[in-house]
Amino acid sequence: MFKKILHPVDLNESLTEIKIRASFLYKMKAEDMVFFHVLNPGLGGHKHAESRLRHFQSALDEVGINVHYKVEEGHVASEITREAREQGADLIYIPARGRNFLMSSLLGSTTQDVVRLADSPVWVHKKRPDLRHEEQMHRIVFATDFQQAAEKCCQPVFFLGELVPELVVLHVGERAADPYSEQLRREHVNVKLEELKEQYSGYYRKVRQISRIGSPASHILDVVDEIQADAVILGRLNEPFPLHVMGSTCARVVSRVNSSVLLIP
Amino acid sequence: MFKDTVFVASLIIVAGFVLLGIFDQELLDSISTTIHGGIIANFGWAYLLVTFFFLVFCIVLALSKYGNIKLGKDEDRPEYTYFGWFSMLFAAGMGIGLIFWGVAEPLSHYMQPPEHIEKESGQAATFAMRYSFFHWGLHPWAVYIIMSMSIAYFSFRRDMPPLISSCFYPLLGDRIYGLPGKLIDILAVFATIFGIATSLGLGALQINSGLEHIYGLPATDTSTLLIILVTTMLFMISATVGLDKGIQTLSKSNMFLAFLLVVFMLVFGPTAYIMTVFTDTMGGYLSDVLEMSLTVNPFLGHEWYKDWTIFYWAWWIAWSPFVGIFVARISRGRTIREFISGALLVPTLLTFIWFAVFGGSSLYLELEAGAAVGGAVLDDVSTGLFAVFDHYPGSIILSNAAILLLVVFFVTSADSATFVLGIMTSRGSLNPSLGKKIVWGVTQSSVAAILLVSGGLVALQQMAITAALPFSFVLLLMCYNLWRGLSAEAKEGLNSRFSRR
Repeated sequence: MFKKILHPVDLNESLTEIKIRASFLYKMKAEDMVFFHVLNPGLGGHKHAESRLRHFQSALDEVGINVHYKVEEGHVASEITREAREQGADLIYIPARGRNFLMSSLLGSTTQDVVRLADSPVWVHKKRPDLRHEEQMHRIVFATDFQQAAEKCCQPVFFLGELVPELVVLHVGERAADPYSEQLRREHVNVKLEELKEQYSGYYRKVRQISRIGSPASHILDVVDEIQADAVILGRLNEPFPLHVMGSTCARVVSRVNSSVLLIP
Repeated sequence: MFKDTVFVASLIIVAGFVLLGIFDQELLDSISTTIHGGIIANFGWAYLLVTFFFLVFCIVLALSKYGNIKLGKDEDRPEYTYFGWFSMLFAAGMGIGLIFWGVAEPLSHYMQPPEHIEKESGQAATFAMRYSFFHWGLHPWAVYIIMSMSIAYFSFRRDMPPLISSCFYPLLGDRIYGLPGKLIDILAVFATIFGIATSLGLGALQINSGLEHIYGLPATDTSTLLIILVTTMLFMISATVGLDKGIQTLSKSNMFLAFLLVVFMLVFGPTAYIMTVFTDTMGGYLSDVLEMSLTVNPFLGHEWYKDWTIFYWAWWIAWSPFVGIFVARISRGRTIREFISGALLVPTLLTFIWFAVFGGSSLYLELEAGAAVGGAVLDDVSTGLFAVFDHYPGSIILSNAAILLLVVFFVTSADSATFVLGIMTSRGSLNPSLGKKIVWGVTQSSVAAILLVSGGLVALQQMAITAALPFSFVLLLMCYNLWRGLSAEAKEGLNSRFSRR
């Protein structure tokens, strides 16, 4: 599924971290990996960057993934997404360093920009799964609105079944405007969730469903926190003009969740 | 929850305030003055902002794609003719107030405008007419429309009981049957009963001053009480007859009577002068409505705006649950566009004509004919109308007609109020039991009577207006809920997307 992976790296990262992540990606059946670094335009540093990436590359010989590297100049997020497109990467893998709230709201974050701009799936690796202690993931959440955006997540959800024992299918809906419509809506949601459960139960040891009412982003955050999920899978709506002033559900989840996020555009 | 929580809780609250009014009127006065003054001083700006927002919301909604949605099922047809509908709208929304203030308001503004305008000048007269139009024009109806349209939509189209709490289903879900919903409904009963009691009290006072003016009936407590007693009997009869025959017939005949009165005043008064005033004030209103909507003059003359504009806005908002439920009840089967354009424009236009005729002729008397009607209004606002009639041929007949109008508006207001209170306290039954109607009818009249005698009427009015503050939020949330309901319907059709398998 995710054979070719674009992995943007920071030159300050330690070799140990790079190794831990590579072995995690190897478990996710990655075959090719491109270390990618974007420099500020005009400031130079190409040689230093390349030698650092070469060092990473040689250290990973024993892991079993083909590693390449590339250095470019420009706007970081745009370069990452462009490179992913050109290389035909199956996944952009971003380890998210936890910047504090003030920093990220003032400076913006590259992760947020990549999430917004990417045309290929993005894995944002946050606190969980904590690779320093354990590589195994225990449970993941698939957030669905039963619409087009969620349908694109089907294949990745099947695929992750090989690595994760438990799947939680989460639907967050908007309350209908009267009790009768609300009852119909609930029945409809239950039928749909039951269908999804059946669809995925051959791939996971355990499948559960949860249905909530309210703001999607806050309920996703809530559920992920409650069941200590390792990752959450989301489909991104590709609206030409995003209508949400406070940012899309994806952006809000990515910025605040503790688990990893797999985003399917 | 008890079966009749809203009924019992509201009765207890009302009884509490009335007892306070009887036994310690000073305390009631000081409580109500403090709360009222505090709210007007601190939240006056908010009333202007929200009311203006409601007007914009109404216009946007009428012009939007939701305008074609019916307040009822798709196959429903309007239950009342345009004439019947407009008559009842008008009677419920303005009624007594218009007769009370038709002469008094323009003259009061003319005699006592805000500081930056010279008293008793031409400028003051223009200002007086423009602000009378403004206070009784589009804005109050926008407030009423938000309330009534939400109730009508959620009850007739989405089959919920016609209660204010029903409109909160998209936001609150099943909690509307719990404490939050009950609180909203109790607050509505509270505002309605106090609002209607003060209206009735003031109406009775004016009937009395009319009778004193014509027949020399002394304006004593006994005679006012007698008036309340007689009118109470009348509206109880109308209430037992029911909505279709009772209120509708009375409202229609009142419209007819009011129409006759206006035509008479127009023909036998300074016709050209009145029409000039009408045209000029219309122009001023149309060009200034945006500015007036948000004007509070914080640097000069702010007191005037607090006393008038902000007071009116609070009053319309506090009055909205009563008018809203009643208007919703009579508007089933009309589309949103028809409802908004009808309820926003027609009563406003009628009100403008009314003010142009009564305000215009009284300003004519004051400015051109040298009659001191302004002084009479300053002495006692309730006598202004009769003072103007004195300068017309057949003044006795006119005064009698005005008293009749007052009595009938009194009866229709009280009748529709008992009806609405009945609905609100029987969990939204559109046909509340006669027992409940009688309980509320007697309660509102006795509250009016008791406080008229003990002197707590103004305090009660101030208490009613305090309800405007929470109701501003209620109305804002209603806009949100209504929009949610309408957009859900536009997106997935009414229930069709979730059809059972």
